[in-house]
Amino acid sequence: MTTSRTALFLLAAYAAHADTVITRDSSSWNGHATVSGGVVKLNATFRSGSVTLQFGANYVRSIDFNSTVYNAGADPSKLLPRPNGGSFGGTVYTQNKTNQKCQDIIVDPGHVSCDGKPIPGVIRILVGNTQ
Amino acid sequence: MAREHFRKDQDAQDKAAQTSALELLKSLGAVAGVLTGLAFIYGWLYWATYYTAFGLNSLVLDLPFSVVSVSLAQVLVRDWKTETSLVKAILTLVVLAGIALTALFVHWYKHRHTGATVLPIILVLGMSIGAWWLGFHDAGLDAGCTSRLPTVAFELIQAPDKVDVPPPCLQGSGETCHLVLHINNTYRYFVAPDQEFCQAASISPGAGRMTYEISDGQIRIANIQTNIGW
Repeated sequence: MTTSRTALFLLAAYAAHADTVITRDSSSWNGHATVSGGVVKLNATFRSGSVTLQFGANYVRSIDFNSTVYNAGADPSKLLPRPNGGSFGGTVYTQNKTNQKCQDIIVDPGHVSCDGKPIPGVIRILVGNTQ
Repeated sequence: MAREHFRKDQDAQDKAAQTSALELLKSLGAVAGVLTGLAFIYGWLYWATYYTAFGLNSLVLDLPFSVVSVSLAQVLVRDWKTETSLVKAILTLVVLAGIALTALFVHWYKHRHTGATVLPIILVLGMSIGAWWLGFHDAGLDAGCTSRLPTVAFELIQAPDKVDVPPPCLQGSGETCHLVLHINNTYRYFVAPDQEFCQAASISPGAGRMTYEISDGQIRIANIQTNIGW
């Protein structure tokens, strides 16, 4: 009983962590995002199944942390511009109305770190413009 | 006796002329009614498809009947001035086919041809599909890098807190934004694609599109730049 409750809690926690990646061509995709090495990986579900989309830092405009997971369209993975790595910098906005400019942002499921420091309660990352 | 007979003939001729003029007016009225109704349906189909592509629900937009009814002609003129030669050729063919089918329908109807009833069905179906396709096509064009929609930038009454997430398309934000519609005291707009990713903008099938809303009560000035010339 306790095991199943824990499993349900973990499942709900994972489902609550869902994100929207908005790109510079004004498109957007929903799923679970991670960022490392300047590349955004979005584990997204489409009608055809689950795929991992990869976006370069120069192609991403922002990442919103929300509860949206649904993608109604077709899998675009073959049509996206290739990620070219580099640093993933930008402004990180949090729930308690603070923001921080970061040169290197890393996103693990449920965790965001700015230049090596963890930041709780992040709601949005605006990519670029770190000067 | 002869004079009385002549007067009766004259009266009968006058009555016949009056009846024929009345019949003509009735026919013209009926045709105008049908054409207005069809123009409304095609206009509605066009705008419903167009605004749905921007995430708006056409059923709650409350677009005026008169505007919807005349808008298809306006849309055709705009598209004629802004579209590529291929789309112009398609539009020309569709309009010519519509005129030819209408003329053929009138001819067949007069001669009691059995196929006369099929032609209006083909015409209505063809025009409906055409209006739907044009709405879809124009929305794709206006959402991309060659948008014909006006650009917009807002100045808020209360400037956003510097630590808070700024709403998109504020004056001086550096973003290019397009105004989709201002209706029910609300501006509907979106951030335009960056020029270097125009190619990707046109080939991302099924991607979401972010459309934003801001109410009149929040803004001090909306700077709208329209495209004059098309």
